[in-house]
Amino acid sequence: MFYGAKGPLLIERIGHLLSTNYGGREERKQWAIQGINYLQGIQYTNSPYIELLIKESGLRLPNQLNSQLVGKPHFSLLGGFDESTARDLISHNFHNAIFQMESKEIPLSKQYQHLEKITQMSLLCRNFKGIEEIEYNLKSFINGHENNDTLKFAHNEKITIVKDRNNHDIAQEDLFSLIRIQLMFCVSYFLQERYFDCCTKFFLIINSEPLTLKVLSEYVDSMEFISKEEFLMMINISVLISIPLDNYDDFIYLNDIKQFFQMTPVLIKCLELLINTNFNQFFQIWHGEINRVCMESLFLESSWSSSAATIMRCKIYFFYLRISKKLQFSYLSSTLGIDVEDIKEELTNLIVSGQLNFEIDDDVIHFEDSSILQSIINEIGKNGTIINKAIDELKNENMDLKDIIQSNPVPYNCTNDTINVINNESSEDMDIDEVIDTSDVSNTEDGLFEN
Amino acid sequence: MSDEDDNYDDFMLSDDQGMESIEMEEESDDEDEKMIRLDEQQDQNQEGGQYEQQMQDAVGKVDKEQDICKVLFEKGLNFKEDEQYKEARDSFLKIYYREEFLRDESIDALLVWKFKSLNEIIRLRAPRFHFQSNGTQDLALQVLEDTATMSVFLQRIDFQIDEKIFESLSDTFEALAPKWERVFLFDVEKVDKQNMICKMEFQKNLMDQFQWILKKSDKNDKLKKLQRIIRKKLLIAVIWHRRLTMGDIFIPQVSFQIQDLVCGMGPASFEEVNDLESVSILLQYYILEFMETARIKNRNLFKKCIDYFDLTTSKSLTFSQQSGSMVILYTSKAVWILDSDSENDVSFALMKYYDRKEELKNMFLQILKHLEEMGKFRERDIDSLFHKFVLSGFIFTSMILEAISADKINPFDFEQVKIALGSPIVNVLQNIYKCFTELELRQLNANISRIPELSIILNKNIQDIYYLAQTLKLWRRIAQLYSCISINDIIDMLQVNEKNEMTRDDLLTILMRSIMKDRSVVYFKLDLTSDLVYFGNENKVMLPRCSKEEFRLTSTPKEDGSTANAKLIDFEYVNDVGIYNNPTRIKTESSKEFFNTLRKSRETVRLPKVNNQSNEEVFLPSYMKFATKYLELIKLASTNLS
Repeated sequence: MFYGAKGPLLIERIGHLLSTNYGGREERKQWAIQGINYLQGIQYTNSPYIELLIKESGLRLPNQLNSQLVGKPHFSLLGGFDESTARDLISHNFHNAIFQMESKEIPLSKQYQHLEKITQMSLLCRNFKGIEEIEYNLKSFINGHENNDTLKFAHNEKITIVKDRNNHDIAQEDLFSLIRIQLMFCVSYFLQERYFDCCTKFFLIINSEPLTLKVLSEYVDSMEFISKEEFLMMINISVLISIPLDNYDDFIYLNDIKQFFQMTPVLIKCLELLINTNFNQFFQIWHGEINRVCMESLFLESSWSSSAATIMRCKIYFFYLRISKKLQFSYLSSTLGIDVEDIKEELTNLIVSGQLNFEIDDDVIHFEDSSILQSIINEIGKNGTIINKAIDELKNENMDLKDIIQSNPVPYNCTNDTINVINNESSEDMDIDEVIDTSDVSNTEDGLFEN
Repeated sequence: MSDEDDNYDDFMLSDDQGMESIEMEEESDDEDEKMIRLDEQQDQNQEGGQYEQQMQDAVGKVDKEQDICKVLFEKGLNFKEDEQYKEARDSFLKIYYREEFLRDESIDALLVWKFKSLNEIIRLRAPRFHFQSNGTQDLALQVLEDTATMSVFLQRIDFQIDEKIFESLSDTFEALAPKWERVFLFDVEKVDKQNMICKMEFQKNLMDQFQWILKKSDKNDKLKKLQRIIRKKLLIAVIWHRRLTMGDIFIPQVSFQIQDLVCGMGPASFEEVNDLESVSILLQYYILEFMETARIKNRNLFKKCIDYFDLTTSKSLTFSQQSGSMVILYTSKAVWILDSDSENDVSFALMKYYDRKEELKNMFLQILKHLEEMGKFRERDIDSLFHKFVLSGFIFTSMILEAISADKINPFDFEQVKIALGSPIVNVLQNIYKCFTELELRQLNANISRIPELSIILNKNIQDIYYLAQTLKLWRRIAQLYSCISINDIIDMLQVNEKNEMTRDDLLTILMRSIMKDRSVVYFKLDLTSDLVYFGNENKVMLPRCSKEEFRLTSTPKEDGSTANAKLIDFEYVNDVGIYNNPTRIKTESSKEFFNTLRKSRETVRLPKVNNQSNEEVFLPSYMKFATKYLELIKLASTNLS
């Protein structure tokens, strides 16, 4: 359940399970007691979860908590952090912790391990910007030591120093740390719900670092941060979500990641079911095993609940929309094994927000071609009305003018000059009759712009 | 057996069975002579006693003993070379009957001589013994008698002599109970049963004489090795005997023993201790299991043995030239693929369907080739279940491959199939092939059901053939012809037979899989409320109301605060669901290229250029190309107007 977490991560995991209201009452009580015991052991109770822990455990012991033994807590309780950092983490004072870590002097040979801790902390406080910075710096460093001679020299020197001490383990530990930091970038993408980036990054790492899979299978659990199972599930979910349905069949046969596939039979199973359009069975796994792992996990739960679970369902709905003119919610519900009300809500949302050409009519969804041309027609119609309006106005003005002229007959003889003036002017502008004629013509064409 | 058959036999054998076949010919020539010899031998036995007494008198000193033994032994060997077996036997027997003086220091040397001569006696007739089909009863009895003497002798001396004793003994066992390379447990229909039973009875009786050795517990590795050989030969004899007399060999006792034989050897590794013979019998046993039940229980062990067998034969030229072993190897591999197919082996899912079938086809072809080399391709052989299985497997996989790929090679043009042309099974297969190419589903079914004995073993392939035929018929015959047709009508046309009703879901699966795998030739849409299918390109319509470009323009500003809704119009989300995705296959083997292609299609927002409009743009009718431009123009006009 806690993947062997011992340090501050234990409190995080317990706190997460309790705050998402996971599990039965008795289980939660056990976890809460375990958490309190831990806090007692480390002699630090300033955790944002403390109230929750006390409530769930049903214990009443704030006084006891204060009367602690004096002395340093056992190092195993710190989860690889030093004491003050561990406390900062427990009290969610992440920025201080990161600041402290960053300002520390670190021997070159341990820099990656140090960086790894910082990356972990940034993940805990969801400081994605910080992680991006680390990624950027690391990238330029890795690229640098390939291209730039001076940096290459520095890098080599570092390794030779380590080798001089005859301590091969350190160099290797450092390399493992470097790989794990890169794996953490995937976690960061996943937490940001950037699933495509998550799996792309992962397969990129596999390709560039031949040791990745070994590290993943043997040296991820040992860092007591994220477990191998959680990490693999992250990749699985990202793969299923972000690779288009039609390309699963290409993906599964990719040659250079066969070894990875062997590590997660559940992914193969899912892909096979999806390729064979066996959606019902797929959702049994999706809502069963995968859902369970996600709900229990500190790292997976938020992205899973907020989007991952739904996106996958929408993907399948969309596939059905692709091949159908008409279909029923009830049919989808029984074929996919998903509650009909959920489907209704999600599918409606999909159609509305994706601006799809489908109309919903009670139980039936049917294709309704209101494509982009429709909006062009609408726009043209609008323009038409504007033009019609303008012409109407002109017409009215003309009518008014006509009326004025007719109701005020001017004797021809005495105003000959004026008429000439009018005639002269109108020859440049427009004849009254012509104006009337034009507006008559436009009258007949009105229909063009009416819907 | 007709003359023709004989010639064929000779011809085939002379190819690869060199020594053995020559001896076999000799033997079959002089059966009468052999009978005479047997009689003589019996006489000689009595004479032997007298002769021995004479010799005993002549020998006085101990150191002379050795020389005498040596002389007698060489004499025996000479007789043996001249094929004067009875004289040879007598000569060796003389050594055996020499008196042992207990206090003698050279007693050890004498015992070694005795062992050597007994060993020679037992092996004397071994080569002749194997290639005789009948009339070996008496010979067998005599060998068994001699073996009994040997057994008693060994018990008496309790292996307390020269170390070489183990090697010589195992050689002898190998000579008298050879590896049965030309017969297979899974193909006994055409085997000369009576003869084979005799041989197995002999092997059993022979090895039974040494049962007592099995009870000895000793740390001696050589002894252990010998025990293993005895156990192996015994078990093989028992299995074969049971197979030939009772048929059913799948009883817990046997399957336990056979597994024990291959893997129950304690700390030593699997590869070190095993030998081809025991692995081969296990493979045959499992192949038979598959032929009878269409599944293999201990898949792990089976795979392990195949790998071992594969490795060993590939390392040695001798082994890889034994057609019998190769038949077993390729049959195991084919069976493994068939079994994995029906077991839904996960690691198997990573292999492309085409590659899987291709490999299976090659396995069947290899089996056919090696069977031909062994001369097991005469008409009488071809109606055995095993031959039917191999031929049908080859034709079926070829049919599937022909349908899904571009290489059109008629499987009946293969040399190995041509040989069998005219046999009933090939006639049926030709009909099946014809129905398949003509997409006559019901006739196809009728023809396939003419070989019911294979329906379970090749079930997966048969189902694949039906599925393929249905899919092809749907796209080539129905979709081209109709623009709208009801689901029930299609089902009626695709029905294979009356018993196995194709359901609505089956058809929908075919349709959906075709679109997913980009195999649908004609575009289609479903009306699931009234169960209609519409075919034709006029059904290519755009699902979203606007283009991707416009969608992004309108949706990027996420102004309102409701997070749930903001997410749904997110660009990431649209890409994941694939709303604007033009389904295209990505043909690459590198993950890097694969993801690059995906990223490109995710990031492309502009519509492709007009002249680029090929069949890729399935969801984008041509009139849509300039739609955004039209829209822009009109908007511009309206702003100018107002």
